[in-house]
Amino acid sequence: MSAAHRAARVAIVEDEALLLGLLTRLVGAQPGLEVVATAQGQREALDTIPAGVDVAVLDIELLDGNGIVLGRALQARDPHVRILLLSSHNVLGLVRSVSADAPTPWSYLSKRSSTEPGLLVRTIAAVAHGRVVVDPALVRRSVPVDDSPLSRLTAAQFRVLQLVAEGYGNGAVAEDLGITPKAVEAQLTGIYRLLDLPAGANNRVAAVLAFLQQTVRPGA
Amino acid sequence: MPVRGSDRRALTVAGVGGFVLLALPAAVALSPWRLDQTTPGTTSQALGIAPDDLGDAVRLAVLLFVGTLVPGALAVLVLLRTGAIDLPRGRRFGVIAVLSVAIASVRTGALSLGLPAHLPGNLVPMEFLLAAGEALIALGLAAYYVDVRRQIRAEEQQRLAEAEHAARVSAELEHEELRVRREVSQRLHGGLQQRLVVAAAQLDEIERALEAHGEPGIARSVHELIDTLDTLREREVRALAHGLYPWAADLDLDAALALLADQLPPSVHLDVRYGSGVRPLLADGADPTLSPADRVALFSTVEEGVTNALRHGDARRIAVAIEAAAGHHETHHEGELVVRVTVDDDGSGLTGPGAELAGLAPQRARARRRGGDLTLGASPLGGARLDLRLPVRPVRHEVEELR
Repeated sequence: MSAAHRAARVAIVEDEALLLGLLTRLVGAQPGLEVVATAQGQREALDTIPAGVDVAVLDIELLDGNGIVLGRALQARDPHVRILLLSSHNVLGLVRSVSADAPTPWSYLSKRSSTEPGLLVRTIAAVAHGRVVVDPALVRRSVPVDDSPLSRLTAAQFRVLQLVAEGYGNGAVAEDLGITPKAVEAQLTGIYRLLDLPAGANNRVAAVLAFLQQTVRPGA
Repeated sequence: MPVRGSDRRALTVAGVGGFVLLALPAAVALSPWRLDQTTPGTTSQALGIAPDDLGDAVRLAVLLFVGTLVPGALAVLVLLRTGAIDLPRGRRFGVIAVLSVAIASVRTGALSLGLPAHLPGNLVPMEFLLAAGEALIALGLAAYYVDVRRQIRAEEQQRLAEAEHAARVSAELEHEELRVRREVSQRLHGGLQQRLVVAAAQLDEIERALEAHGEPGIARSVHELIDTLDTLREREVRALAHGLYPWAADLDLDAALALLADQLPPSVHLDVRYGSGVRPLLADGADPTLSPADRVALFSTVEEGVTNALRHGDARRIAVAIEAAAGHHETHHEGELVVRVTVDDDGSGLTGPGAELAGLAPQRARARRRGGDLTLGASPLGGARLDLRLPVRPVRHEVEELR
């Protein structure tokens, strides 16, 4: 991913002007991230977002249309664009169904999380580096679907996968769990095997996608 | 109410038909001749017809027939062409009276022409009055017939206009109710919930301060209060907002159902199938598409069906099928579709009659108001089947907005 060598190019689409301003300032102030386009509506976004954007941060509720339709349109135009959805509602079910046939799986952050500067910036950076990120609060509420491959993970493996789904790298996972990065790698190998992920694919992304598809958030 | 083409035809048929009926008794001219074959010297003598002259009798009959029908038909034409049929009743009666006198004159003239001898003096005015009276009745009835037709049509149009007005008012009310529900729901969600978040965060600080000041008892009470606030926000306010307006209905129906699937217990498998008739309404940027009211109705019904299956039926598998087909032309409006939704489950099925329909009552009332229906029965999967038929009118994007 070329974004590793230059600032990641970010587009932000949010219908509330105040929040759009806040997000733009937060992201723009971060070294390694560059806001190249902002918009409040779907049509405006399609007109102003240039080619070669790395991450499109999209609110679901827009002035005209919605972030789902916009995200699909952006990826149809340029399959390399990665989508980070923002919403004040739990839209994980939607992210899961959209990700099933998108060029790259979508990421999702609740609006409450998006106003935490550290979390927003870390998430955009992770997405720019090709990771898929799911809102931490919802990851913590996730339960494996009965009889799914994911339900066969041990509690420790499930915890590792949860942190990966939050967008953490191996080092951060290790730090959070108080184990060595090598132990994290070993856990991941076990997880990939249990989930029977296709060889050669980006296992990390595939594992997060499996996490999305094989968990639910009852009542969330 | 103006005169229409169909009124013209009706007047022509009724008027000319009337004069045909009046002209037919001209054959009476032949009967005296027939009668006189057996009993000579009666009627025909009075009329001056030679009892043995068939040619005279036929000539008289033809003249009387033509002498009635031709001026009668002309009078109908005059009524139509001059617009006299549209005059107020009194003036129209005047015109008809004048026309009747004209018809009577022609007919009496024809009678005189047809008779070989002069009529007895008193027969002419009698014949004239009779002909005028007949013509007056024929034209009057034809005009009255047109009046009745117009009145029936006016009443029918008024009835239709009233029905349309009622339907429009009902649709406007439904739209307005939905708009208000959505607005209140958004305020609960965006306003009240956010304030509760802030309040909980402030209480958090107080709790920390109390702990720092060596007040663990009060700190624990504050912590419980925070938990109560969180529960209130997470459950009550959210459920209230959702009950008013399911936020997901702002998205496409398939997106809303995907969201629903994510919130089910892990033991439940939800399968949603869309028929080829409904897909065009759900595609990105579909135009026309389902109206917000229809999306809410369909989503709420599926949601209620799924909730019922879980709550009462202990289901593990739920199958939702959605299809749309054109409505029947006689009973439905142009462009209207009937969406059929079935929610099947493999649970324990219906336990008490009608009990499960309680939560569906508003959806059923809405479906019936629109000419559809909602029923609950046995499912091929073993549990219950919810079956909704809802006539919908897809809308263009520009009129879709609730905001």
